[in-house]
Amino acid sequence: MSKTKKLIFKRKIIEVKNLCKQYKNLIAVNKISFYVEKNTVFGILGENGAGKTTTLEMIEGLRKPNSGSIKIFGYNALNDSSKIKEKIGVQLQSSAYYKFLTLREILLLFGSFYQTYKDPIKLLQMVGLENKANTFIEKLSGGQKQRFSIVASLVNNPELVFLDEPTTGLDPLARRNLWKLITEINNQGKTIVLTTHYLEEAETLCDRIAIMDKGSIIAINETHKLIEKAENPFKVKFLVKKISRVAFSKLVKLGEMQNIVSKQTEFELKCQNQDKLNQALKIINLLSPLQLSVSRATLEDVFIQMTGKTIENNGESEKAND
Amino acid sequence: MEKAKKQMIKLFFANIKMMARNKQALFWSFMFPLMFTVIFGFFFSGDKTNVGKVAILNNSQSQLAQQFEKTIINSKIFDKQDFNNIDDAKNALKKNEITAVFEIPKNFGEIKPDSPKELIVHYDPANISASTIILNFTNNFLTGANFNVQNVQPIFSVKEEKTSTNNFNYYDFILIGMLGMALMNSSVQGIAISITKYREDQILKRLTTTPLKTWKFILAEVFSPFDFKLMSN
Repeated sequence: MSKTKKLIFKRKIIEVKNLCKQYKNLIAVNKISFYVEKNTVFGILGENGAGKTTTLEMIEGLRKPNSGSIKIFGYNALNDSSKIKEKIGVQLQSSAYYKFLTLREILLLFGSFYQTYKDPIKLLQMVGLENKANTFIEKLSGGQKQRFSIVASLVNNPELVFLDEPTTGLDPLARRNLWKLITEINNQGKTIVLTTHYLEEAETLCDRIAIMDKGSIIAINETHKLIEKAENPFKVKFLVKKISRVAFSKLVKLGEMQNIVSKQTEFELKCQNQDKLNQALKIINLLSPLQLSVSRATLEDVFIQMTGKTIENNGESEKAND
Repeated sequence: MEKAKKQMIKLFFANIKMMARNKQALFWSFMFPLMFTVIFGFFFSGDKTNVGKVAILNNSQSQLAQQFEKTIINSKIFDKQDFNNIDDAKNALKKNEITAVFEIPKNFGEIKPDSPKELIVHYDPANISASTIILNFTNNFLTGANFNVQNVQPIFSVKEEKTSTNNFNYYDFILIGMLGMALMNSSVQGIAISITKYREDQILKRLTTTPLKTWKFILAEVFSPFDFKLMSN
């Protein structure tokens, strides 16, 4: 019984095969294939210009692919877009809403485009904006606008929600509040596909992640499995007054040793296994460290390992590049 | 079909609401055409067809010359401006300070064989409407004077019959024109501008993600500003 339930739970809602998009000489998306299972959060991770938004917009029906196939709820996305649009909710990257309509009026208007729609006040209550129901959108703060933008994508009570960089440009607190909201939406049984260039966000929210680089998917798996792929999954960070050459050379032999940027006596050592970590800790303890912390590898480590680069948090330029 | 109608009506009223709340749109829809009409109406209203200032350099003491000068002043078509000599008057004409110079030669209008028979009119041919009025006025006056001197009664004349008994002035027809123009402008340019703005703001993209059909959106966009303008007019 439980096995059957699990199978239903894992039904594939999106199936993308060999998707390609080319703009003149630029191959924005290069033969990518992936699937998204029901009631999961699927993340597309990549730096600016990696092809995340283009991929998402092709699935949403906003752009036509040059080749490949997209199936959503079993429908062909290119031929049955109106059936699909009834069942999906879309939050675009930096999308604006009508300037001279109140939040309630915008939700009512957008709701009227669908066969069924949710009560605007209940939707606003979800994000704590019920007291702003009669306010124009331009009077909202950045975080409130983003919350409204997400809730506006739920107006038709969709089964599948697309969120394109939902937290870009927000402060850390507002970002964490949005993470809570996204988790709540997922807990309501909705499937979420989101793009992000925040590694922490992807690690926190996503059940499965596809890492994109230059239009291709370079890795795709469940989040914890991706992290397990790190070459050096154990990390130790320490701060010492000074370090002897002998101790330093011993530590270097145990793993990947590097200075913390701009700090002479603070180091990070990444080790391949528990044994090497233990040996390293013994050496570090003899140095009487002022600070010491041990942790596991993160998605960032995997990302750097796979792409050879870090992601800079300048999401505002994403639109132009993507 | 019922659903389609509902969607369009919702979008239509949403557009009307947005336009009514947009202070700039209100100004350009209501106040601007009104101001435009009032300002132009103020300058051009009334029955006067004044063509501007003219100079009359009358060197003749004859009754005809005096009568001509008097007729010009009484006609209210021209405003007389005095000049001491013909050169000053011509300079003023060149600088567009006046519309025409009537130069009446010495002894013009006296019934003598050697008296001058021509009245000189200096005008700017570029100013077509004013020069036409000035030449017609002068020719009509002199034709009348010729008949008088020859003691002839004109046989043929024009009987004016107007299609309407109302006397339309500039205000009357410019107002209607303005209203029509505003209506056309808003319907053609307004939609283009608002759709471009929607595209820039990504509202169009957001709408594309909904099941709303393009034709419903376009129809609502066409009819809402049209009706709004109709109300404003």
